[in-house]
Amino acid sequence: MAMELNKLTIAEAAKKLSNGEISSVELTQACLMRIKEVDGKIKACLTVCEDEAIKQANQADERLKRGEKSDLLGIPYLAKDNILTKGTRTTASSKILENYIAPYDATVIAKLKKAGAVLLGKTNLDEFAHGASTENSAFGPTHNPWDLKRVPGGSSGGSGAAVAADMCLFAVGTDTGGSIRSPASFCGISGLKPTYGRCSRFGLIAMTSSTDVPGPLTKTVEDMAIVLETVAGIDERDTTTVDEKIDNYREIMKKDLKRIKVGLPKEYFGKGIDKGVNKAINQTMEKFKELGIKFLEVSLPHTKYGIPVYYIITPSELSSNLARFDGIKYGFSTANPLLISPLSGGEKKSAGGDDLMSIYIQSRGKGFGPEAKRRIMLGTYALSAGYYDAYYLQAQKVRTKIKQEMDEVLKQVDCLLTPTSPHVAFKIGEQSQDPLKMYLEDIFVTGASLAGLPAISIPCGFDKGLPVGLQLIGKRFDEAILFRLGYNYQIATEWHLAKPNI
Amino acid sequence: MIQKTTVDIKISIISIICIICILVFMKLTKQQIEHIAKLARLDLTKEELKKYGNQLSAILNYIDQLKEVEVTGVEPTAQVTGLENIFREDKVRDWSKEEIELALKNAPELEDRQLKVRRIID
Repeated sequence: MAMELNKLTIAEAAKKLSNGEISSVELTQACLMRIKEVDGKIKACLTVCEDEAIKQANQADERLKRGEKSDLLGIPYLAKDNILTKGTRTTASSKILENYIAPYDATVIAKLKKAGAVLLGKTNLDEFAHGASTENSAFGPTHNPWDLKRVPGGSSGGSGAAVAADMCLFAVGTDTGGSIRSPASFCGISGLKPTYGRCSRFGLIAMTSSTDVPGPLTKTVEDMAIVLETVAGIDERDTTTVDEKIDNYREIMKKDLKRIKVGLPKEYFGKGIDKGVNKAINQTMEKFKELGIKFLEVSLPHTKYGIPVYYIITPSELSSNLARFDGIKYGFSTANPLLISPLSGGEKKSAGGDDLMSIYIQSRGKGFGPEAKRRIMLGTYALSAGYYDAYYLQAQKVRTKIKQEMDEVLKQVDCLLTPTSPHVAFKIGEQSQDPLKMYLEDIFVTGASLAGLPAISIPCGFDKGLPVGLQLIGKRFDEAILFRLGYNYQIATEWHLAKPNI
Repeated sequence: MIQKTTVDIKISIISIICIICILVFMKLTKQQIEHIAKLARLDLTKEELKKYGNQLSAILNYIDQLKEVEVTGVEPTAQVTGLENIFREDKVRDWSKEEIELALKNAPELEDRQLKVRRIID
């Protein structure tokens, strides 16, 4: 029986913990056993904190015994490894941080700790969150639990695969340009990118400061709402968080869907979407119509510019954010090559110079992976003298148009419905040779990121045995409507209950 | 007839030359790549310089379509919250001893609990 506890949802487990039917230690042990059982094949976890997790679970059990009521008390979770967790290795899946121990907790982690959630460990990602498949990890790719030869999506691929394989009850990820929604779609689970400014970025290893958001990956929409209620809120350490009211999601989401208007942006339904994905989306629309939804065709003419805008703004901002990895304060440094762990094969002492410039260029040259270096170069170029106006400034102006367009359309409807991805999970290695092809994976997810809007991806069917994801995009700070549609959909359907055979 | 064919051939040749010029012009030169790598403080191998040069050129070509968009009078979006001037009290918040130790432990070179840096001024 202990083995099955890891398959519970947060809502189910919270009830059982609260009435004393199970303990947090039992729940945590079930997850740890599951990780031991399947993670050799899936490779979702970079670090597992077994002792610390049991300690936290014991503390949670104490709090439960004292009668404390909290939905996340004693609930085991995993965190993406670009989120700082005090005292635990935090690598951003990069060699440059292979042995970095975080000196403090990110705000979202601190909030989860306060609520009594139990941190099981850290999950794999594309290095510094650069990617849509988790293949850019310096420590090897994560494998999709639905088909181990395929990618789990990215960049929060480890988190996505872990939730799908029941290694935890929920996971935390970050979404900059689809990085929660893509793995949610490919792994058949539910993922939320909150509104930009809803959750604190303090303690996240920064990638694109103007679009990064932390968010939950869960088995159900109800669980998603539970996690958001805990991690959302203004934070004085992140001055881009907004003092916005956190709705009573669990009450609102139970309302019916009659007369809700959902927009279908025609640019998201053109050529290039796999037949199987189209079929699943169409079936979903029929189901939503049964539940009372009215669909309206809308248009977002600047959709196609989302990717070029994103791939100027992202590299530009990250080229600045990654400048801090200089071999001086922390991380891999050729000033002290002994910091390279045997895990990455070790290396002889650097043949280069010992002056400041040499330490910078060699620490960064050796420590960063190819995609990180590519993006840093692209960003450096786009921001350099003579090119700033043509690239970065132009991209920011087109971003304004994309944002205005989405905000306008969302005045006519309650939310938008689109596929999350034009296809299901692709094979490992299939796209990784062509960086541009990989960038095009983000075609449906960049819009909401650039406009700072909330978006969820929920499972809505299968194509060739692989999960298909549905995306819903809401107005700024209107996560409530997304939960309402998602929750009602998951009552009326069973796609989210399907489990991979692993 | 022959005159028309000659004109057609001339137009074709000019078009081909134009396309080649555009492609050559769009591609980043070796010097440009080396310059960017230096600005970015990245030590790249010869192979990396060539590979990234080609890949970056392809990406920049793709991104060039942004020039099509009419943006006269459009303000750039640097951040989407619309917030301005968020301040906090100018008070120092000390780290705990534990946090300080953890932070120092990550330093590549320490001497007397201070980070060692290389000479900046010659």
